[in-house]
Amino acid sequence: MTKFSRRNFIKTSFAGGAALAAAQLTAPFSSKARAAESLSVVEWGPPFIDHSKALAAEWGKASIDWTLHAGGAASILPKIKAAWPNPPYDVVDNWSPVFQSMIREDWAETVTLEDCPNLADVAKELIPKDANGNWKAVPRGSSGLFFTYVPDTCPIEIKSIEDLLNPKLKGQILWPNPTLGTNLQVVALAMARGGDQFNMEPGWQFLKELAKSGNIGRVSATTSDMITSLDTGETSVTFIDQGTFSAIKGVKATPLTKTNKDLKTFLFVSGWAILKSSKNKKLAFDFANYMISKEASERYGKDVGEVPVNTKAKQTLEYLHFSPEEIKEFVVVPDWDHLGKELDGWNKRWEQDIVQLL
Amino acid sequence: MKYSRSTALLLLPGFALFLALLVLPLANVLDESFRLFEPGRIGSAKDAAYTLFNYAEILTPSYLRYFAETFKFGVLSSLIALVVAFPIAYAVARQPSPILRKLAIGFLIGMMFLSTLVRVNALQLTFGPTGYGQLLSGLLNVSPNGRFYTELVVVFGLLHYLIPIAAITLLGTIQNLDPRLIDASQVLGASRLRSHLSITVPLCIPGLLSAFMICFTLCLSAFVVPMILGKGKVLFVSNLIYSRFSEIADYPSGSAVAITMLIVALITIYGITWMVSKRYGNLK
Repeated sequence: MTKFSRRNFIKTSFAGGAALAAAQLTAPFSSKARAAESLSVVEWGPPFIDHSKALAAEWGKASIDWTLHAGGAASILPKIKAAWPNPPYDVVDNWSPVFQSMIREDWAETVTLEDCPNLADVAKELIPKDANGNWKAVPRGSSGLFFTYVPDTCPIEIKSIEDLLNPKLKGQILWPNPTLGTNLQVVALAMARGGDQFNMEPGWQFLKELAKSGNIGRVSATTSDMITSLDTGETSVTFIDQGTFSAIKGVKATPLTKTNKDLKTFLFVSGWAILKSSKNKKLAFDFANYMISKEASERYGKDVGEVPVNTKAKQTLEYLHFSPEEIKEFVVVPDWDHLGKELDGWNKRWEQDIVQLL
Repeated sequence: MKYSRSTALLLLPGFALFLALLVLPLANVLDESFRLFEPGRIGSAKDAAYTLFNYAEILTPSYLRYFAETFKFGVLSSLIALVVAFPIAYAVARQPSPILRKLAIGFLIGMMFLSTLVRVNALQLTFGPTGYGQLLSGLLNVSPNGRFYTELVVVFGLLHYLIPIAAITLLGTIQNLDPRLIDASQVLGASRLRSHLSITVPLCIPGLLSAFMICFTLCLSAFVVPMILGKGKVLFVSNLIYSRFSEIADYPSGSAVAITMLIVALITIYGITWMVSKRYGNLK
């Protein structure tokens, strides 16, 4: 049995200290070695992260450090900016308007068919591009933002956008703040009253009426707010994206994608941007390529509930499958660059004119 | 000379940290607040022009209302916290059993270690649709999704961490108060209430002011409480700053709001201290 003595203690401490110092001195080399065989990926919370983790495990070419988005989709941008040119991420999962911001800042690496052969199975119109037509992201899903309601808890049946003003809906509407969905909810209101994304005044007037009516029970700042509020029955009507919609499990919500021509569905693309700063671009492209393969895309549609952009993959979401006539009537493809530039002003308009009325 | 050199050397690390962690970042924020923001960009461009626009924008009635609202919640919650915490602190300070006194102090300190997120989510569960929200709003005859109820829950959220802090701050003041003064006043015929109002409270003014200042400052910088419990209807200035920095990437506007808030808060705190000092003499 070892006897504890002051001399033994000093010897042990010295040996421990030396080992610690050696570990610290070699840390930069070992972390570089680790970086070479791992990827840092920014992903959304459930159901996205669960789906991506399962697929990444099957891909198996590198270990992945996952970072979850916190807040709206654009909240990753200041984090990248603060650390640029050495942000701690290789790949960022995001969507159309944020891709535009990343392209403007020249952060997104150009993608080619050589980098991602599976892009051959994706419609070229869906791939985010810069002004010169270079591909700047790898899309994996196309999806929509639309109005939805929970028939079991909603006091009325929603048949048109004007129903939102019905006095029976007191406190029942969950309204996303402008940073969620790039304020498309107000674009929808504007379109219903003769405006559009370039003429928003009718939308703001509609929103003022809505705020004064007392029908807005909660303003959501995150997608978790939306899931919790609808799941608990706190509210029963909202404007939501398909990914979040598919995560509502506690109640049965009805998507209003083909109900009335004033209830529009806004189409967008989600997918992967590979940062120019990445030290593991080859690995990052390989990862993105695997994630948009036919098999992975079919699973994406099943797990997350978005429409895969891989044309070989089956898609089963009837309410997001539009005929050419339905596209004319119900679907809008927004000008994401315009929305990105207007968002600052719209957010201030929201703070100045609407919040005080809630 | 030797004394001042050694003093300077001892203060150097503190000054260096203060400079690196407070003064330089603050200077950066101040500089950013005067920069022109180009919508769609992430923060201002490196060579962005200087402008007063970011400050002019804040000085509109709609934005001044956010400052007023933040101050309203700050003053109201701090005063309620003092009213609730004072008897608690008095009872703990005058507790004859040392074991019970230690347990009570331990409990108050323990409350301060509880994560804000845990408190806030616990309150949301309790007063939200899955808890007693319907019952309480029914008793108050208000809508659980209405503004009054939302504001009430935000005040509960603030009080949850203000009350223990105020009680601990007041504990020292009350302990230093000679209990024989109360005894003497009651011997001379004053009632218990009158004794406390004319002796305990005036002698505790410095402690009450300190507790109020701490509570008020914490309220002004509260972020998680209005964000989660405010349902997006109650927004503090800190929430405006957050959305500009983290959601919109309009750093210049966010910086201008932050600098304005800092100046207004400092003026308010100095103003309150000056008024109380003038009324009650030099506070020690």
